[in-house]
Amino acid sequence: MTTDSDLDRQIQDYLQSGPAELSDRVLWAARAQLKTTQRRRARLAWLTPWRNISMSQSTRLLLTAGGALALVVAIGAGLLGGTGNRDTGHSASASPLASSGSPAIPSPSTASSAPQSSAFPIPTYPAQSAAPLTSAWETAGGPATRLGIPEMAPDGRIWAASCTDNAFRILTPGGQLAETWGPPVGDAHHFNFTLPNGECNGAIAFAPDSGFWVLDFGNFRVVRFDKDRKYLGSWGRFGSGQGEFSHANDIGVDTVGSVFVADEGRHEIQVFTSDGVYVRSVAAGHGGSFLSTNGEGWVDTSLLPDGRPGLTEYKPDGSYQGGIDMPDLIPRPLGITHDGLGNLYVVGLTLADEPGAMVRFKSPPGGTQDVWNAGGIAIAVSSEGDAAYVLQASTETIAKYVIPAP
Amino acid sequence: MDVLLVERAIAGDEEAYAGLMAMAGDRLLAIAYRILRDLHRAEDAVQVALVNAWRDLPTLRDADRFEAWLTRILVRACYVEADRGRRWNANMRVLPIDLPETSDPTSTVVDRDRLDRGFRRLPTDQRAIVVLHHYLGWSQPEIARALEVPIGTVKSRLFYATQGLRAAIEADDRPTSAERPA
Repeated sequence: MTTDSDLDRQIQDYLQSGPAELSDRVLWAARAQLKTTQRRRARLAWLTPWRNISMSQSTRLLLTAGGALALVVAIGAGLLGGTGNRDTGHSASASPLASSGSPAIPSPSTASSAPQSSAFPIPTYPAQSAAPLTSAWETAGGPATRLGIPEMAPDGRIWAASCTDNAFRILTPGGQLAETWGPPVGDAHHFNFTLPNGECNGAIAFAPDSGFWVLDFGNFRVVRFDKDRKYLGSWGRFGSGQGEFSHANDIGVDTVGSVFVADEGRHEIQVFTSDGVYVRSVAAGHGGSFLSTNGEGWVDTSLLPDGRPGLTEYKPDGSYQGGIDMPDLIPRPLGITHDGLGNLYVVGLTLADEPGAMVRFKSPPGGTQDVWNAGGIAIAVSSEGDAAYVLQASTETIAKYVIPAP
Repeated sequence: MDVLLVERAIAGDEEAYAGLMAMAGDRLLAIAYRILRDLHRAEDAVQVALVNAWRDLPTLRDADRFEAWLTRILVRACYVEADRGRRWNANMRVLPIDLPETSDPTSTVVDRDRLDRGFRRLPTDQRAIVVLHHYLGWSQPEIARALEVPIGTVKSRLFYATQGLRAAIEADDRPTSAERPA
């Protein structure tokens, strides 16, 4: 009978023999492949403290901290606080149909004073002074414009839904109105960017080939078009079932064509195939109003799982990556977007509804963040990350900022 | 490992990464060879691991963890390589190792052959744990952390691997039916 220690020693002896060094041929072959290898985009280093907290653990923490009711309450008061919201749909007001006999879906407005969970180990980003950034141009504003979330198309033009005529304003990078586009009135696919209660919003997400998906805010649906703006299909209606929308606020698409829809009425992000087949829900129970996907299925949203304003990131499988609180940088983070380099941009408002800061979390991990005084409620950036287009809350305008290189 | 070099590589500096490859290459080959027991497949696994690591480097958050992180990528490359080899290797006879061996006064050729037969019969994931534990000297929690598997998985793989190796040795020690007394 071999003793354990004898066996361990024999195994160690056995494993001692082997080749001495790696052939240069292997090193050169590996090196030759580096140039043609597409590197993964970086994850955000500041989310590390949350890496090991699973969805179930987090949910337990939430429930421990205050029970299911507190969850709803916390969500409601978290992102938008229910104070001083503009009527662009980026608000915490009740679901427009909830009071008229439509399906009862929990509304964020049911919570006006949220207890804040202390159970979450969410790091707080330190204060940092905002550098000045002067706008290169700004669209003519005023109530008549009433724009939704801007987005940059692959050709570099900026699209923003307009609630005045339920069509998109398409701007050149220089700020000129290039075109107004939308299915005509009477067409079955005509957009409606206004809810019955007057809230205005609309959003769009582009595939790399210029095909696109429109979040038809007032019709509770997503409409898909190809790059030639030919209608390909649509899905969705008001409701609480899979593939239905209550207060869908933002839309994104990754490089494989998965479509993400953030719904602040359902408190989750629904994920669909490119043609609308429901895949799964992300951040169920605590999804935010705004989202951005980095193209590989990672999703960021501007609401912490405990209902406070902040940033939360989810992995492609829907589980948590992490979260961060930024009360000194952006008290109310709202619009989120990525550039093509993997950098993440966040804009938001102060607690007094004034424009807050714009923050760029630089990739790769370990990079620092930049803070500029160029806040707003929604943002689009160029793929190179050298220009940001920010929707301003108070003036109903889109302003372009030239961003200094990282 | 030079942390500054790792950070430069994370940021996309190919020269820095080439330096890391040169520094890590021998160690990676040593690990891969001990898992796969085949030099050419070990070299293939190392090459794949080096390229995959370059691809995934931007996702590495802590440069200090580079070595463990790279080892994980290598072990996964070994899994793939072993699986690939299994398809066309199933009916091949196992040949003795023809590599130079270090001098080893405490181990006999018989012991080594028995262990070698037993080791080659182990599943690749068990071999990997044995190598990380007995060759690199990593503790079970260190292995669990590096491979991102539960500690229970490490323990069970190591247990079954050890059982398998013990069985291989002791089976050879048992007398055959012809040797047994009537």
